[in-house]
Amino acid sequence: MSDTLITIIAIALAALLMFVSPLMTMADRTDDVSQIAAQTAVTEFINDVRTTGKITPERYNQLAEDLNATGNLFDVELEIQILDQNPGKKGVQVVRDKVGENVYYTVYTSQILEDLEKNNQPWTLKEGDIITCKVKNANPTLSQQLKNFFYMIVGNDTYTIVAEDSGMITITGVK
Amino acid sequence: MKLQNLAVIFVIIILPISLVLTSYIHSRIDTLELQLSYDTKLYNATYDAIKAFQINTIGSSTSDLADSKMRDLQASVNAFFTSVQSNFSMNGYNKETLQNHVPALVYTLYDGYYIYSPFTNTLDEKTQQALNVTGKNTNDVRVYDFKPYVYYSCRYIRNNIDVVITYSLDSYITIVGTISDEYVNKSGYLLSSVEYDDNKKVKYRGQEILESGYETLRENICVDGEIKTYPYQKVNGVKYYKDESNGEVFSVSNGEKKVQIGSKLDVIKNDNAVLYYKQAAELKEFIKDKGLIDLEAGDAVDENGKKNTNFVGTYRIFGELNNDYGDDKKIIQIEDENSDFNNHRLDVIKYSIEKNLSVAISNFNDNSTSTSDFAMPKLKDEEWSRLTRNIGMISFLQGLSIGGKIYNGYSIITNNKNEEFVADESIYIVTNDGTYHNVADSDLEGNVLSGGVGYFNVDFERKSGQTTTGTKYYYPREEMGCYYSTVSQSNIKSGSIYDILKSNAELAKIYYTALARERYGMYRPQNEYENMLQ
Repeated sequence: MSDTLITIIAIALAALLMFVSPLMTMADRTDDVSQIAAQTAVTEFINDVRTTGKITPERYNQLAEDLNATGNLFDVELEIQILDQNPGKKGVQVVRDKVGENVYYTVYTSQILEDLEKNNQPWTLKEGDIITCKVKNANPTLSQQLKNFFYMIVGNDTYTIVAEDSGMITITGVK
Repeated sequence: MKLQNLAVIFVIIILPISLVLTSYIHSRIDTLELQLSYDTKLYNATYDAIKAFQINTIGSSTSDLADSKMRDLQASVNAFFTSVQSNFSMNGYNKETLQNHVPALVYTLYDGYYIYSPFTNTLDEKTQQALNVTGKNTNDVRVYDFKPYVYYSCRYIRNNIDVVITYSLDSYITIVGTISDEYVNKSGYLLSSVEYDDNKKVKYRGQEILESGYETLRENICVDGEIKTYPYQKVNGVKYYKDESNGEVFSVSNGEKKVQIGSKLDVIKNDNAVLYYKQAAELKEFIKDKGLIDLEAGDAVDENGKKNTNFVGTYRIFGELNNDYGDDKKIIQIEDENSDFNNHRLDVIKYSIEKNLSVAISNFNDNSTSTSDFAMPKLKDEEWSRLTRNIGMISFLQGLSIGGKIYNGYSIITNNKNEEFVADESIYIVTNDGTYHNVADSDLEGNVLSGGVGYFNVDFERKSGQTTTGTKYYYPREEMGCYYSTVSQSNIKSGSIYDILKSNAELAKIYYTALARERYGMYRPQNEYENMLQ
């Protein structure tokens, strides 16, 4: 092999080592930091909702702002399991005189946001309901883009930042 | 130097830096994640404790009496530590070990609070011998237990007035002290626009309450092995029922009938609501007559009788008691959330808890075998606001290693479904279609309200009783919950309940009657129990 070829390979390797590798490492760390920031935002949001019994438009906007502060766009999914405390609503009736067996039904993001955003009203919850919040990055992060460029392993649908938390509501909320 | 050499030098420098940085960031992330998960676990454990308290108080007919309440609180503390054990994967650690990381647990109740923290037992030798106590009850032993109940109270001195006022989670106050050298002891609810005349006619916020003077309420109860429906009246925390077949008045304790021989209580004519407003009207007159209406926040003094610098301001604490009620929303009633009285009440509660809690936590350092230093975290205003509106619990967990950092967390959980306190939102309205609704339900208008009655939300909770065929579950009230307002909470008007009631006179009458009746029926140590049963 000629010297020229070796030089070209050496330059390519040097470029890889000196630019791409640090860039990818830094991009990975940025994702790590975004991940923890997103997890913190989601956990704090869930804990606030659990202890106040309501999701106010302001609190939801604050979650969105906290997530945006990471520099990424996020897809927020909310799910609330609402406890139906009415007696006689039973799934499988095992004992005839059994009363108070509880069932849950679920509402999802769009239903919740309709109240929060369109009507600008808080969404109130009651003690015993369960809320889940899941966020995942909607835009490819720098780390994702670099990985896609170099080794095409990570598809566009794979999320690198995912944060999730859930909990039971501890108090019946008041609007 | 060749390019290859440069590359090698670069790798030698950058690689270790990159590795160390990666490892450091990962460890920080792990620490933060652990901290978040501990926060959530602490919330869960605190909720378990509050839930245990809630279940025990709802299920017990004597839960409001001091001994019984202490038992329920002990059970709640045990629930907390058991939950901490399982949540924090500390199985095998016993309560005593975990206590080294819990400087204090605070239960904020209706008119005061308990602090659960360590202290040194003090008992003189003579008493010790007389009581023949052993173990943790002996002198000089460090014990973890509840310290005496502390009331939300404050002393005021102004001219000839020297009184201690005890506040509560609503507008109920107790005034004890001397006015012009005369001893006074008066308690009741503070209401601005209450009118009570000699014909027992009551008007509150422009609405005439309970025109007939009484109401008849019935509910299911498990007594002597059978679930039956009886008329009832709640007096000083105890529900009295009447057997209409023989006129017997009885209460129920552990499923057994306790007949009240010679009781003059007419259970069928339940006049609690009227008596509530009567008591409020009397208190209003008392405050005006005795000159207490001029009492200012700045008249508060500390334990030594010196000006308490924590309460400044020249506003009158009871000044709003004289306010009229009208369509003008600007007229603030003393019981409103934005009143001066309410602001001062919050300040007193906050000051009292903060003062005692910081002492308890700093004393913990002397008592604890843990090596870490414990400090009182600063609670946010929003958290204080929650604590002063409902009964609640504050838990502290400190000194756990979370990798490069020591965990120092607290959690506050409040609850509005318990036998301790009737909050504004604790009243459900039963309509003639056999369902119960939230007061702010948008559908509560017009015909649906005819014959409507309000009840305490606890009465819709499932209860158990021992019958001849074993344990049976029943509901004191049989109505179903409205899906829009109580189950999904979706069809609810926003804003203060009192604002909603301004435009709905029919609902206002039902609500004010129910709120008054349920509040008057609560156990209060200051109640003149004998007179109430007449």
